[in-house]
Amino acid sequence: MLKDVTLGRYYPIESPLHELDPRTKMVAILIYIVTTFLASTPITCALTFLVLCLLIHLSKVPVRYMVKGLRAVVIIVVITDLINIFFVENGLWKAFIVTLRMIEIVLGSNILSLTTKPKTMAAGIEKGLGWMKRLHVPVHDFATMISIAFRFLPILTQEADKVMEAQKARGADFESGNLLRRAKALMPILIPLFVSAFRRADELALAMDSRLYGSGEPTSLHPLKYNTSDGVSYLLAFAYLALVIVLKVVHV
Amino acid sequence: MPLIEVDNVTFSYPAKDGGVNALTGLNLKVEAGSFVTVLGSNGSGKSTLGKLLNALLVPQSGRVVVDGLCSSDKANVYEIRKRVGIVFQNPDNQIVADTVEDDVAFGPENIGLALDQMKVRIADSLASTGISDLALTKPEKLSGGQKQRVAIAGVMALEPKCIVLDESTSMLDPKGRTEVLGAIQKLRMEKGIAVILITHYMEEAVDADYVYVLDKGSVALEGTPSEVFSDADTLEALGLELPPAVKVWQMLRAKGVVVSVPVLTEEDLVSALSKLMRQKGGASC
Ligand SMILES: Nc1ncnc2c1ncn2[C@@H]1O[C@H](COP(=O)(O)OP(=O)(O)OP(=O)(O)O)[C@@H](O)[C@H]1O
Ligand SMILES: [Mg+2]
Repeated sequence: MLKDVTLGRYYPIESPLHELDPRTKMVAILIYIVTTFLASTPITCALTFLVLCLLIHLSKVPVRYMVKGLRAVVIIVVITDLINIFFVENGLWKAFIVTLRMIEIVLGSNILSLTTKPKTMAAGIEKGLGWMKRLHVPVHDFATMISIAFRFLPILTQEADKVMEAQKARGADFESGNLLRRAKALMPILIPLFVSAFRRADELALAMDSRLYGSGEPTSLHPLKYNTSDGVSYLLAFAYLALVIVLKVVHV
Repeated sequence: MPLIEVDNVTFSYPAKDGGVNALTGLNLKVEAGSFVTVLGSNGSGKSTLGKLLNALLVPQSGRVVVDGLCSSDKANVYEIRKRVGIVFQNPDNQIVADTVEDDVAFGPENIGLALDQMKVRIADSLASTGISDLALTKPEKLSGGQKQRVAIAGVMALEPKCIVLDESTSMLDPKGRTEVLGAIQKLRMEKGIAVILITHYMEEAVDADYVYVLDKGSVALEGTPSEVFSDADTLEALGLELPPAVKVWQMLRAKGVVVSVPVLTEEDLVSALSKLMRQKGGASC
């Protein structure tokens, strides 16, 4: 029942996008998201959508799997659309833009997480923000936190399921009643889950300490380095950003 | 000089956590390359001892000296952790990364080892724990025994002189347990690594060079396995159960049957009994 949490996780195949450096992908996706906000005319909207299709194609992730990620935002989109259509001037077009933007942002960031391993992503963030170390920002610790969160997500999900089953067997009812009642019914799950998560965290911290975590300047088994394809990607991404800005300025 | 020396150590947890004296006046020695078992019932202080041995905890009084380095000196902490590795009970809570290889790399990465050296160490540790073929596997796909061997490989990658196993087999099925204990003995034979096995299974103490039995935070009984096992009354009073073969042997002795060699394992018992039968058989003919 909680399996859906794992959506949007790494999709292990080989593709040009899988091979790119995580820093390149993060910058490119950030640029892409910026352009979706800039796009407001039919031509620019078509352009951003075209780029999205191109990225999905390059990622080689099946479209069906990709669009599953949209389920999470359907309700929000529908509500904003209804408000736009009924209460806002020129609402149909606005609703269209908002919907498109939402889809593009969700799928855009999905492309990033589907083509990049959590560990690589963390390494990318660490390296990309490396300059902040000089300001005593614990960048490496944040990166470790992220990869550990990904490692324990399936374990905790499984555990939540187990606790839920156990409470159901004792007659707990999670599916009926109003929102407040259902939220209350969740308490007997959350408490054991928290207790166990803290115990795990405690033990994990000991295991990490004993393996010399934080003893010096760490190295990596998978050091990041840029290839030609990364250079090309940066170039394309910035060229695309420039194009959208120009189109915006000349009101096309 | 022994590899590890625990000298009159007292340790208590902070008052807000209960403030009990977990260890009082504990003395213990571990020689390089030896196999030492630490027995004791629940709450006797075994895990606390394990954490003191690699400077996860520091004693309030007394000293823990590893390879000439005293753990009370902050400057020694990391050096001690390189020399003494520890494997904990729950296999799920000590694997950090999302593949076996990455997890074994965790220690070497932390000490800033260069990439080529790191790769050699990973390959070595995976081979010596017999899990080379699992290098790219995800932790959730592993059995309990395999997970614990990954944890051992992760410790081995730091090239320690001693490895502490704190009830590392207690959550495993019998197959997993044999798997892990086998891997540990192999490391001891091939790499000369000292092993400290913390357990409440007495059977796991029979092959040890030396056994310590803890009770209420201090050593209640110590000696070679046969010395320790022969004190059945004390062991029973401490809530520990003798291995079945040893029990049979002692019941026989109580009945006046003289078996000369000390019996520790089932094989010992079988050979001692068949020898006895041959002697008896010879006398009656
Ligand atoms: N983190 C802690 N905070 C407070 N008290 C603790 C803590 N850990 C252990 N203790 C207490 O210290 C004493 C010794 O505990 P320890 O865990 O060393 O025993 P043990 O022999 O490992 O037991 P077990 O067989 O249950 O693992 C116990 O009384 C325990 O309640
Ligand atoms: Mg313990």
